[in-house]
Amino acid sequence: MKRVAILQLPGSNCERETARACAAVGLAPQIMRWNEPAAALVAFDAAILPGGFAFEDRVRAGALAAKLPVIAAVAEMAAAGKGVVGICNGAQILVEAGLVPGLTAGAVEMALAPNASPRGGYDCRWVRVAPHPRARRSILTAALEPGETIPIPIAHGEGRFVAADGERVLARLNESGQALLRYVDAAGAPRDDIATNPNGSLGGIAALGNPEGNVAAIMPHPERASWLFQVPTECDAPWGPRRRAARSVADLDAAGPGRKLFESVRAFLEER
Amino acid sequence: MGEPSRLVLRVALRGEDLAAISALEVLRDELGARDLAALSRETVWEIALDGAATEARASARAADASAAPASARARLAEIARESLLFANPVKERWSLEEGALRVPDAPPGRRIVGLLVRDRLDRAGDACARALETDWELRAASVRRATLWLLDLPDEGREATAARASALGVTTRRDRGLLLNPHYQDVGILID
Repeated sequence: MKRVAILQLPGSNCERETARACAAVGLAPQIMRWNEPAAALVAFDAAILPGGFAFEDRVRAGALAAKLPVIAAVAEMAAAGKGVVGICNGAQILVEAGLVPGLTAGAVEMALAPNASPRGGYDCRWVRVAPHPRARRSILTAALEPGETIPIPIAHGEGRFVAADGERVLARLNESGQALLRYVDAAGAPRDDIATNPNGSLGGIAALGNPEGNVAAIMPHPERASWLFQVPTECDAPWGPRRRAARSVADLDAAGPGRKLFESVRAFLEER
Repeated sequence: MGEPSRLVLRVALRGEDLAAISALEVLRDELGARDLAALSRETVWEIALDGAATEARASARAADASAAPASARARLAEIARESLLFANPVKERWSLEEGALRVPDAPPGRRIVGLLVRDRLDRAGDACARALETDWELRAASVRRATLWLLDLPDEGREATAARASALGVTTRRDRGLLLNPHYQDVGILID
């Protein structure tokens, strides 16, 4: 069984749900605090940085946490080919640490900027993502089918993937298959409107990987969509009707749409 | 009319600024800036006023409601005092200045360098401009919100100290820069 460290930072608030989602797919998660000896990470096959507000998002989301010694140890895991996933605030940390997109080793090449919605600020709702048609096999996409649409919640104020040289970087990311997931509409098509792309992210990117595929940053929360009871009744088919039809605790405890992203983590780690 | 066309409203916390304290600790402990003596932060509202329109509206208001005509500057100060648009007086203090931003004087052997950080997409500034016009009848040609970081560094000469502040501020690697991300923010350097 693959061992996964769920890294709890001061301000993380999704570590338990993330650990449960890992356990549900047959991984062996262990919540590890940021101030434990970083050398302990050596024993793990992967690290997941969960959602939350590390250090209260002081300065900007992910900026302070990215400088922690434990993130240097996470970078060593990534360089060694182990798995690293950042979810929401974890994604912001990975981008601020230069681990994603990793086009030039060590460089901070992108940002997760404040949402571009007209109202601005924090946005919390269900959206849809789908694997990018050119996405490479990665820790987040290994178990996904081409073209499948995954309903999933977002909850962030700073989730807009941007780069100073945006068009050039986007072309490189598409070419290398590092744009893993993108926001899509109900028909599964990418659209450049705030209803579909909730933060105005470059290329509609919802999840981005490194060139090797073992590191990924995802802004939506798969751990909040890993059980049917988490799915809103008005969700797209088949999930909404399935949720409405659930009559028992056992029915509600069935897998939700986000579970497949954790299945991808397991499949990717088991291939290694 | 003698009306200033550009005003700067500076807002700072009355109590401890935990973000600045955290940033100072990280710059010293993780990025090696042990000679950074102090770091503080202000929110800066840069307001370019449409003077003629403002005067006309102020005069109209005075005629209609027997209120005293107000210059744009006085009107802006009134808004800052009477609303929470720029600052919450319970926890923040503010000052209104004309012209270019200045950094404080430094003791001998030190320099204060300001890093004025602006988001390229400034929703807060746009929203403030709308609120000024619709709620307060003050038309601004533009409103920009920025963050001013003030770094107290050893004086290594004007250019070298400015470069040092820039290197500490602009995030280019995990171990280099903290205060802004150049992929969505711009920075102006203020130094005497």
